[in-house]
Amino acid sequence: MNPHNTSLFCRALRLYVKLVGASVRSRMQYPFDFIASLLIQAVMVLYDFVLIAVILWRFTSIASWDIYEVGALYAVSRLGFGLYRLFCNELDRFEAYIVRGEFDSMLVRPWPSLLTLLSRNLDLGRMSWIVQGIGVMAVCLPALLRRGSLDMWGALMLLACSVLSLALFAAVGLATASAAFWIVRIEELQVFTVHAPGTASLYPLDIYPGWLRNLLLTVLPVGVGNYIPCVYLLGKGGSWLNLVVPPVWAAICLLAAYRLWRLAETRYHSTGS
Amino acid sequence: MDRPAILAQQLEKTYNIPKKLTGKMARLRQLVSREVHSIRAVDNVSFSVQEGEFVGYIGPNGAGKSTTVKMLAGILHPTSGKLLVNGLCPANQRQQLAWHIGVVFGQRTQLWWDLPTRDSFELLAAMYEVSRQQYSAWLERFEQMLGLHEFLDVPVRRLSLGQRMRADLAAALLHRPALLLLDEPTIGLDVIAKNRIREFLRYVNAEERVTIVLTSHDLRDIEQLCKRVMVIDHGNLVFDGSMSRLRQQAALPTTLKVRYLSMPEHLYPGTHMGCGTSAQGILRVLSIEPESTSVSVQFDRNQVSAAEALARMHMFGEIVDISMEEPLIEQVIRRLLEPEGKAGLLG
Repeated sequence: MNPHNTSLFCRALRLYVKLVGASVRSRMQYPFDFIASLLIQAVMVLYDFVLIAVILWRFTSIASWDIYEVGALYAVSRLGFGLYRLFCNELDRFEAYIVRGEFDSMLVRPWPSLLTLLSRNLDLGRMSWIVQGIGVMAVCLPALLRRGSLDMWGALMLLACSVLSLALFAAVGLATASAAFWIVRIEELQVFTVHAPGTASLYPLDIYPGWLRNLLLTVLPVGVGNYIPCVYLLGKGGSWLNLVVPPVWAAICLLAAYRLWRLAETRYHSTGS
Repeated sequence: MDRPAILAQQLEKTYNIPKKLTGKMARLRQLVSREVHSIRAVDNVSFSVQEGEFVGYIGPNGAGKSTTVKMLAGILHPTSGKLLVNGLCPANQRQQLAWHIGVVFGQRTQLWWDLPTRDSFELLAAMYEVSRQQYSAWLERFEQMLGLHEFLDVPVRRLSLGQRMRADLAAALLHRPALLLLDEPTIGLDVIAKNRIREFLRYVNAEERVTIVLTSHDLRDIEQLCKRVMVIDHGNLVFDGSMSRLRQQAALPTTLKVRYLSMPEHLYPGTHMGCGTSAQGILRVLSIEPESTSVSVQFDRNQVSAAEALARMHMFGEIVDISMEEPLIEQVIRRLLEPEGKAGLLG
């Protein structure tokens, strides 16, 4: 049944926007809770800022990356993670859907389950990482431009890398959520696949032992989105391939994760009533 | 159209549950253990439902009712067997099928919890791409019938259970599905709310020509609504036929408890006495409670009416109070599974 002539993508997008709107309205039913969570996040952002500032002030450089370079690297990963938590928050708390059998209601709709799942909760209360990323970027980019480490084009590429980072977080997050169809409890696994690698990717991968670096560039590829392009953009080696390989790798990872998700869906067990 | 609304052949669903290990480092070994025990929730079930039918699907807890309904909706994938709903395979064509079916789970609302009920309807209209005119027509049709106007602007979380069920039912019919799957739609409702839901379902089936499959704990739901009933137990279909045949086959006794002003004599547990106009009409004394001057008797509703039974009991003394107990669904099924009752039920 296709009652409209518009393309499937446009129809899906329109529905997504509508459902996301509803989720935001739902959230606003509890204004105090919303404001409180924003305040708590603001405090956390401030705390994180102080922490990085202290580290960088103490060392001035990490593995030949100076303060602004580390800042740019950090900001790309933070923006990517922030966008992931904003748009894919339900993947992050997917365990609850499996444990309580709530996934049932995603499966009775005439749309891909991922569309109905992700549109359920666009969590504006989780903007802190995005704010943090923008803040660090606002300090580091002008400094890097001023001293000529980066031209305008490079700066734009750097910003675009945050979308790349989002794609990689989404791929890993989606694959991890898929695991819930088999093993149900995935909170610990998420720490191992998403959150810890996310934190590790905030700093130059040169500081880690080889096996860890390789891990963060392959199967848990959240380091691919910021480290590889930054190496080239900030003139620390590499070639134009550093800008081509990451998007290709991100696309492959996303596709593979989505295939896994579709397979996992068929294993859904639901819960008794 | 002579295509059946539902066609199930040798349908089977097996759950593999990891075996709980015990002993040294059990939790660690559990992670790599491949040992499972299989639970066959639905086992070799075959049936077909024609368009326009109203079918009751009953069975005790854990019998496989919900599993079957979830397979029909495409939520669960059958382990083996063939299943066609509206001519589509629910497992592989879940999304296409969703345009044509409505699903209601009694225990779980599918509305947006924090938003006014009206918003949920509008979101569902968007989801099913229902046109403005069609939406208004739908609202006009069901608003009065289900009393939706009473709570359209109230957030779903503040609706009573009965209101929420009405809203859920209306929502499931918004996109004019040909088939409605209802899993325990009257659970937890009081008598008045139940009656209202039943009346509505009868209308939807008769006037809107919607095929309905209903699971319920409440035998009265089935009795009042369904011409056909299927009974499932331990994953097996143990009965498929008309409601009257079920009652006949199961020949379930109704229990009548009578409290007398003073305890009558000549009544002992196990006493049989003739009753009513039919030759087979018998009352059997089930129990005597001298301390509360009460007597319980059982009789077959096919042979003896409640009035006849009461009249017969009145002969033993002045009655001050009565109560009636209809057979529970568990008893119906236990009766069906007794060896003498089982033969020739299917078909």
